[in-house]
Amino acid sequence: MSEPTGLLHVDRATMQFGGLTALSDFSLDVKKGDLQGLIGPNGAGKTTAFNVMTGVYAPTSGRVVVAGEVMNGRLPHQVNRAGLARTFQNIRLFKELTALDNVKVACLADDRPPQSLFSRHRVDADRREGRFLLAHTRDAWGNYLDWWRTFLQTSGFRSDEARIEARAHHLLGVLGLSHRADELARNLPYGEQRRLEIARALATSPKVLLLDEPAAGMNTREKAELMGLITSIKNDFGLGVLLIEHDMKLVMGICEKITVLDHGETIAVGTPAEVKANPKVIEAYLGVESKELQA
Amino acid sequence: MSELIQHIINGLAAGTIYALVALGYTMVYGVLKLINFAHGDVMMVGVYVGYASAKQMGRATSQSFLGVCLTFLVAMAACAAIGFLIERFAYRPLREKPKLTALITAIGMSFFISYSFQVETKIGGLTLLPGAAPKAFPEIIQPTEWLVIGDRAIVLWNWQVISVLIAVALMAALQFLVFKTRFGMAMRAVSFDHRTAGLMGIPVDRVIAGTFMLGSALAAGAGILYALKDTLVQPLMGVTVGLKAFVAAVIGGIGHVPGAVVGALALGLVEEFVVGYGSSTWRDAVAFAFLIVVLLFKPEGIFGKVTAEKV
Amino acid sequence: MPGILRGLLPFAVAVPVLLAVQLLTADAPFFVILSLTVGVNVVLAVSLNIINGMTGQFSIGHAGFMAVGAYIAGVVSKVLSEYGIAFLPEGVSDQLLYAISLLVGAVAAAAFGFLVGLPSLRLKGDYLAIVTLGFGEIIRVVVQNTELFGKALGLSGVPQRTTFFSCWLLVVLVVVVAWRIRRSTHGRALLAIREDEIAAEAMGVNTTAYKVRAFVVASFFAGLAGGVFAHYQSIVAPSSFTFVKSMEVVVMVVAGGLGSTTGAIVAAVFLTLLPEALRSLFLQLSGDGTMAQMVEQIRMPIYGLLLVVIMLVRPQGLFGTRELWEVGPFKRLFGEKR
Repeated sequence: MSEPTGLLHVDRATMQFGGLTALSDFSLDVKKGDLQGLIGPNGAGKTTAFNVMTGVYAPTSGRVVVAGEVMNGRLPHQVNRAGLARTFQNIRLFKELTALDNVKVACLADDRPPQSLFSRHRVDADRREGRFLLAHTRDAWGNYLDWWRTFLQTSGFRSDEARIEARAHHLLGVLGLSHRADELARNLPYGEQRRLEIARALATSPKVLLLDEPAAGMNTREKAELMGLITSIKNDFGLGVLLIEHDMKLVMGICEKITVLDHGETIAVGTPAEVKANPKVIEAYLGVESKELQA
Repeated sequence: MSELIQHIINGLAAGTIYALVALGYTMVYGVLKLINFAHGDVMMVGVYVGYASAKQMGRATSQSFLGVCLTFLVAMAACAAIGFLIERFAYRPLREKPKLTALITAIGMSFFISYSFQVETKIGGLTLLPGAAPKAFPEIIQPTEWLVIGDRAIVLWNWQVISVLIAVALMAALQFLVFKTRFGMAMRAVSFDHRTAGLMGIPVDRVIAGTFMLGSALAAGAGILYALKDTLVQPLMGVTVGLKAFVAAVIGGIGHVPGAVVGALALGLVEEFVVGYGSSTWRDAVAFAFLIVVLLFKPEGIFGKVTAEKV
Repeated sequence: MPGILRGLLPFAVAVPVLLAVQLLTADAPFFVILSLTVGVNVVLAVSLNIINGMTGQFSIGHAGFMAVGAYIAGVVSKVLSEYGIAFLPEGVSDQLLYAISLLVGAVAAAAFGFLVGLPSLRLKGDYLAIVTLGFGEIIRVVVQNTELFGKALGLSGVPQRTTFFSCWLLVVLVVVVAWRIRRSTHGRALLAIREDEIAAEAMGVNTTAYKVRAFVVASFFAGLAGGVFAHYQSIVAPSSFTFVKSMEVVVMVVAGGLGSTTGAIVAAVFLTLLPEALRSLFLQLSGDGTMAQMVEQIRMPIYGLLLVVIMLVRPQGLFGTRELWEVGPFKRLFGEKR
């Protein structure tokens, strides 16, 4: 069933761990061109929400729909293929790989030529139309052939590699990391590591980008630059973006719609102005300088 | 029916011995998240120390109550010392490194100990390393049949009963230690989160060292009981017993103390049944097959808790 | 040059070189046996490196896959030795049937690799390691109890078909395959799984499928190694495939550097030749063989100590995760732009 409401649609997702309810009745809609924020005090359940949306956790109840397909029970890599990409709160780069390789790994998403019998397009089409066994078989055989093409170094393999290389370089360029292509990820300065994570997520050709505190640890200037970058990426690649951020000024300044969580519950949804004025939000952030909210 | 009872008796007797060794594995895993592959080999060293002290005491002394206690105590003390040394010099430096590193070290340590004991080394008149030839463990407990039912349909040996009693006593002592003493509480704290425990003022290094020593001492006790059962001892005995005890600990849920006992008893019984009703040549495969079956249905073990990684 | 032809280039170079060496050493049986032992170990180490090094899993039952390959290839070969292919000269026919037996053994090993890799869906790290260990042990016990495989005494009478050429052609094959995997999407996926499985999964890598594939490829080659081994040993005994053998291969991979194919090759060669060299040396020195015997005895505790010392002092091994082409003077030789 197609969900007309957009690229990412979360329908009353609840996540319970034993006796603890980390997320309760969480709903969200992200459309193409959106730049939304997800905020809340520490422990509010924001990252849990991300994990539920990306398939790391299967929600105890509720649905996650990505690009019209219901994701319940799908593994994270399948959710990614459906069009959802993310970055992590604690940077999870492939430390011993170069920046270029980090991005190349994620370029998996389009490594088979579209006209081939086992192409991603056909596999995804099969899956969308419920022919799961066929999709799985196609995928398995496609991968099997891939391995043989790798062993024999066919020209198809070489052109694939060239395409991936070019694409990875391009994405590094978009994030201003071209000069770091051959540097090991663990040697990159912090800010560049965060940008590399974004480049990597972009490489999976997503429709929606989930960014978990992408500006954490950056100074004001860097944050402003990053936000500008995210906005232009959103426009250039035609994505919807959902941000988790702690910096209020940032979030209020850049997001069109904000969802506020506290103890797993959604306490407010609306424009920055609406959210800022919401008494429940102010209360949840008690202990934080209220002038930060009104900035 | 009587055959069944005999098998149950044998299985439980063997199981209690596995349990003593399994406890060492599970405790160390609890505080260090490390599978101490060398545990079984430390047990083997304890057995040889027991062998040497029993031989030194001479036949009469070693068979007296005092002699038996002394044999046990000396072996347990020696193993505690060895356990301490291994932890201090081989595992502690690797505590913050990836787990794989420590695991490889543990396996290396196991090989080093068990195989160096295979090389007979004598200095002067003193035998430092026993060599590969199996030796007969002195009969510090004379085997006598305590209970015979029917026409030897069911036989209960004295050493079986003594073995179970000693094992149960040691386990009870451990239970008391873990749940009723401050050290035990410290152990449990360290097993939950050693960084936080350290911040709370718990001397993590000492707790871990203590845990190692405790586990090793128990293993020594188990080893001597095993030697009494099997009579012959040889340097590679630690490997087989160790692996099986380890399997028992994993089946019960590694890190879970009562689980280790349950797993060990279960393994003892299963093994006994397979050997008794099937064929003894399949004995060594039983433990692993049992393990794989359990892990496939319950990957964290019977009592284990699923630990999710924070994303 | 069209793709596939360029792909076959290494073999075009290797074949004549190996044939030449084979002809030259035809009269040096000691060298040949030694080279076969080294060759088998290199194949084992390079294949294990795919699982342990590239994918970051911990497989400690590799000898089990070798055993499957050895026994199955051995049995098939014995059956086939009754026959010959009519229109071919005997030597060629023998080799062809030998190749077929090897293939059957390797496929069987790969099937087990698949089975052993499957639990990786639910089991991680230590637990998976124990399952691989268990697998190795179970295989050994099964073989010890099966009439067809000769039980404890082993399978005897396997025709001796291994030549220097065929063994080292296999070595070239596994090295080329490992290198090519490494420099492809699949290699990158495996490395990603090693580095951070959760992130890899989030980036679209089907981690379970890839882990299983790593096991399948690695066990296939271990099976080939086993088959080659069987066809020069002639007797295939369970005592050749113990946990100790598995750990010997692990030592080679770890010492060479987890993740480095080059490291695995170097370590395998060195660690196979060293005890042999020492043994010959002592044999020369003391004539009566007691010191040589000592080498065999001391080898194991030294292996153990070696593992401990490497982990304490240089856990990344000799090459770390790097390959030959990434190191200094070799960069230009292999044409760096990858």
